[in-house]
Amino acid sequence: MSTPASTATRMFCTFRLGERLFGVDILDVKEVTAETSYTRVAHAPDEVLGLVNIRGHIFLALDLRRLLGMPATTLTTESRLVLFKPSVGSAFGVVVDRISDIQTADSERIEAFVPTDHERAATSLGRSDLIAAVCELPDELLVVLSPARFLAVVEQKLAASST
Amino acid sequence: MSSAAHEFVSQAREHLAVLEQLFLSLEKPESAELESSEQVDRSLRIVHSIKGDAGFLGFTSVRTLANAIESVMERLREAPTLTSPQAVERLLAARDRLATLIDDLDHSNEADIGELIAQLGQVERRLGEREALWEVDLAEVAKQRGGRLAEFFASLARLGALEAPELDIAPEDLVSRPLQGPVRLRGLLSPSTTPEQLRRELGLPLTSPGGPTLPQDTLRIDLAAWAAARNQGLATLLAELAQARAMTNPRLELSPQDLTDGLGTGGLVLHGDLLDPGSAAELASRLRLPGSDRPRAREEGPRPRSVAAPVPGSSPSEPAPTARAEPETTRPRGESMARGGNTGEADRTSSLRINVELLDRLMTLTSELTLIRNQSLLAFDQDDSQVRPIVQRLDAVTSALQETVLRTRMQPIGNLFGKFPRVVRDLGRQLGKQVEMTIVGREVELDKTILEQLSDPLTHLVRNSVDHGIEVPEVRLARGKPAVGRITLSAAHEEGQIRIEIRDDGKGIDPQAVREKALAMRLKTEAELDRMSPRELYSLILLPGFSTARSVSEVSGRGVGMDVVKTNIELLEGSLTIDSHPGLGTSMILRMPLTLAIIPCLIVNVDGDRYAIPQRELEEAVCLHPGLKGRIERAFDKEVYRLRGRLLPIVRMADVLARSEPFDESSRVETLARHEAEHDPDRISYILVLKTGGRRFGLVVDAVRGTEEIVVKPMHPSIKKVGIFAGSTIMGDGRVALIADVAGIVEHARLTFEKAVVPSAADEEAGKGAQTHRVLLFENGPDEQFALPLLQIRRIEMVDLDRIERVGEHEYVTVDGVSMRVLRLDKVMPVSAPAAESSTARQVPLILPKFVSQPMAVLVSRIVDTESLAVELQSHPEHDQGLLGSAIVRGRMTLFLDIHRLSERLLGRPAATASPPPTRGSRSKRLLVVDDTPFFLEVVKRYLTSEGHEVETAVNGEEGLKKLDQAGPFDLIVSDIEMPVMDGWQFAREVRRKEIKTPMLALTSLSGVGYEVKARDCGFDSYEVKLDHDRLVRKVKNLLLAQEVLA
Repeated sequence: MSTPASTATRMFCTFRLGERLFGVDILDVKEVTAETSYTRVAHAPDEVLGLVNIRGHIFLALDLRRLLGMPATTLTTESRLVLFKPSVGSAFGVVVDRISDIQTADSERIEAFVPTDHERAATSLGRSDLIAAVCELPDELLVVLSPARFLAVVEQKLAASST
Repeated sequence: MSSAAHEFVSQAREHLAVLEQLFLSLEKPESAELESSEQVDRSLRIVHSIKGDAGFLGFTSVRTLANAIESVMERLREAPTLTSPQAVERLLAARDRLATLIDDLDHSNEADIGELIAQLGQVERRLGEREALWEVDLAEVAKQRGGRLAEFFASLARLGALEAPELDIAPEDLVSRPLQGPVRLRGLLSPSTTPEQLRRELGLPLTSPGGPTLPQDTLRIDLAAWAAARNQGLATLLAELAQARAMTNPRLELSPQDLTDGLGTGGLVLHGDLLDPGSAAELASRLRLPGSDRPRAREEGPRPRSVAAPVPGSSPSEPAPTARAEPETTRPRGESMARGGNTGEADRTSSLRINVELLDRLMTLTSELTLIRNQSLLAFDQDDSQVRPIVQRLDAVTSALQETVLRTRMQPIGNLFGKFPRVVRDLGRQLGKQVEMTIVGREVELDKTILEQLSDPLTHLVRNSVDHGIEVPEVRLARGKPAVGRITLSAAHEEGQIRIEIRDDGKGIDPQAVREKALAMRLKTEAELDRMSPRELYSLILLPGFSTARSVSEVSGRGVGMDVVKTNIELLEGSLTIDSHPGLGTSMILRMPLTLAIIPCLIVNVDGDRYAIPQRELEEAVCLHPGLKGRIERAFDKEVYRLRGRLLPIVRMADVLARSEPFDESSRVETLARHEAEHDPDRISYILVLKTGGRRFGLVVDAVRGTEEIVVKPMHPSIKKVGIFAGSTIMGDGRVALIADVAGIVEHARLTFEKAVVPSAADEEAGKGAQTHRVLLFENGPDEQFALPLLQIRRIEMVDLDRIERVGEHEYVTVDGVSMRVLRLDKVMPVSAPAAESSTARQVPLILPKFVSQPMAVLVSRIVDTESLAVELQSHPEHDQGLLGSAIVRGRMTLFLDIHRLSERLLGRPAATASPPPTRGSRSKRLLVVDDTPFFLEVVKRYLTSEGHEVETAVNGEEGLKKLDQAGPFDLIVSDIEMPVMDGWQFAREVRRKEIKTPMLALTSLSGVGYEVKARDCGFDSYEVKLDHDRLVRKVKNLLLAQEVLA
């Protein structure tokens, strides 16, 4: 962020996987929808939940839990699909367990996430690059993700399996 | 740039594209006459509109250039037949310049177009000088030639330099004789001749007295048309004319042949000079000439010139050059002009430019509407008589709307084809070739997206045809072809697709050159190339880096491109095939879908999910009722379905979906075993008979839901790599369904289509360093496992037990109408019998072997599997009873059958090959057998030793050569072809190079006339297919005999 640190604030669209709080920059989010009827895509990596029709456009729904190396999502009535803007990647979104509030944070409270070797090893498949920053909220920590890297995970896995 | 300017640019580009075609057509001799004036008129309108718009928007350079073009065009309109290649060349250059200016409109005013304007001016002047019109006073000629006009006409005809000759004669001279007035012969000079030349050729004085005197304003009346329209004699007209006193110097114009044939066969036109310029229209109405535009007085009607904005520096009132007053040709041009004008107008009002994005959006909205309709169909109570008609109406309107919106995307392919004549012409010039292009099927409509993306690949192919296909004129003539090469570009509907063909009559593709190149590039081995059909061979050209052109030209031949072309076409769901006849020409055939946007599909269910199968690839759907289940059979590790007597390999869609890795042998066996275990006889399933790349296979699905026209959405880019799907679509209920990619499924399932198993076994050998061979494992009794090479098996047939009939001591079964002996292994050798006469199984497998002297069937109790083996056989005591030996396969002792010996035991030794086993008295022969597969080596050795020969073996060509050095000489060499290290071809060549004269027999699983020829070329004396005992023995005997006789 090149804006002056003292005044700049960022807003995050936050959601939960289990009890942990995650968020993405609100400017990256197109919309949040409750549409969860996916069409499974055979041969696609586990991270792909399927394809979903949002008002005539087809979006690729990814399982955020899987992306982050967590156990697979089970859809509930609280599950939501967070869709991203085209600038983030072509027509896709992630399914989260529960949508949470929009959080505003001072830039100075946001710390870029540089994984230690230990952490790198801990997050499965080296997915720590999906985490952009960590932000300290009054009562808990918010893990800020970089959705722009999500699709690459799927593409890499597909490329690896086809060779 | 303002929006007006944007609009101008896009319109001007379209105009310029049309203009290009029009200019090109001016050049074509065959399109001459009737059409060309129409074309000139159209060009004029186009240029004029560009000029007007540019002037209005202040782009002066564009306007100036357009004006210069317009001036030239006007000249051409007056005398279309004067069009010279040079003029067209200049016009095209000017058009191109205009296009560049318009591309960079903002800087167009700074561009220097002075030179071009000057050139155009030159053209204009030259046309204005009418140097091409040639006239001679026949009186002068008569004087010159002493009255022998016939001779003069003859030499004129011989020169062929004069077109459209006319005689100019005063009406009174037709009756008065001798002739009073001048009789002039007038005609248009062909472009290659100058007037001086012609006069010299004809022996006329170089300076024509006076030269053509051209009147300022002429009246021209087609007498025939007039008479027809008025239904009156000419006398009336002439009288009226005389009364009007409007005309001086009247002359009749008739073609020279009318002088000999009598009047009336050609046109008859009255010319005259108007006394009062501008009175033509008035005169016409007074004379009631047919059609107001009949009197072709030059100052008639406001021509574009009167609306044209004046060119800076040139006087607005620039008088019409004298040449303008020249009479026109006799054809009724007014009509065609009027027609042209009308269509132009119609075009303008009935079409509208729409942003494609808008169309796409419209399309999405329409699909969305369809969805809402579907939902409302479900939501409304169908019995509600008030609501029902509304819903039905909604239904109908939505469908119609969707159809209409889809059609907005379609454009005639002519829009794309239009640019090619220019490409061909320019390229031809550049390469010194004469090429003519014919376009067929301009009106065929294609989705705009496809059309746009087809442009580059097509251009490449067309350029290739000119560059590589068409020969230079000298070569063509030498080969007995016309000097002008012909390229035909055609489009047509074919099986729901568009077929585009680029055909040239050039030199074709030399298959030999392709072969050599493929070998040099190590793309394929010789053996692989041998197996290819010509079409497959040609398709190698489409591989990256492949070019057979010997010299790289500026145009093409750099080897880049064809692969890109292919990729691009495949991206559009199309295919490209090449057909060529060396010496006669090449065809490139493109098959494209009509649209990518919507395709008819069969919707099927597999494991609870819906999939769309494009109907383009669907031949039929077969419903398997529970009772008919037995028609799915096993052929080794694959399942086949017998469809009307043909074996169709089948794949289960569920298996394909379940495994993300491509199938291989082990997974295939695994799935097959699972099917057997989970076999549910009551389950109905469907087999879709699909066709891809000319081959058919069956896809098993759970249910068929019906056909639907679906709107195709591309696959999400991140999961494009999933090869079994071609795209996605939104179904009526709003859910996404995937569209199956049939070719991708075939690829994934690794389906092989060969009828026989031989080639796949051969592939196996070639691929894996060639030590393994494949065998079928089966059981007879519970104790032993048996094996038989797949090469020796024709087929496996499941038969009902009651189809086996007993005749005396023997059992027979009829398969495919042929009755054959049934062999039970436990009857011919000491092995266990099937347990308890398998009373539960109604059906038993029969193995039908190949290469036996009479048809027979081996009855077994269970087929276990197939296996690739590389085993050494242990000899076995029951050797003579029909066993080759034994080996441990999958942890079990397995007996390898000697099918030849078994058939002998069962049927007796056939007379044809009955030779007493140990060779008669003569010394035993020494044979060398070379084969990389231990099993085959063993079998062949066994066959030959039992004939009484001494056999040495080697596992590849190199070892064979060593054996020849160390253990030679031999009486006969038997060699396999496909071997590692050194293959059989190479081995034979080496042997012959060493001048070893030993007869050689090629023994191979490759079959085909081509191989036989090749085998002989390499030095083999004979050629035989593997594992046919009788033929092998006979061949060996014959070769040895021949050897003896020669020695």
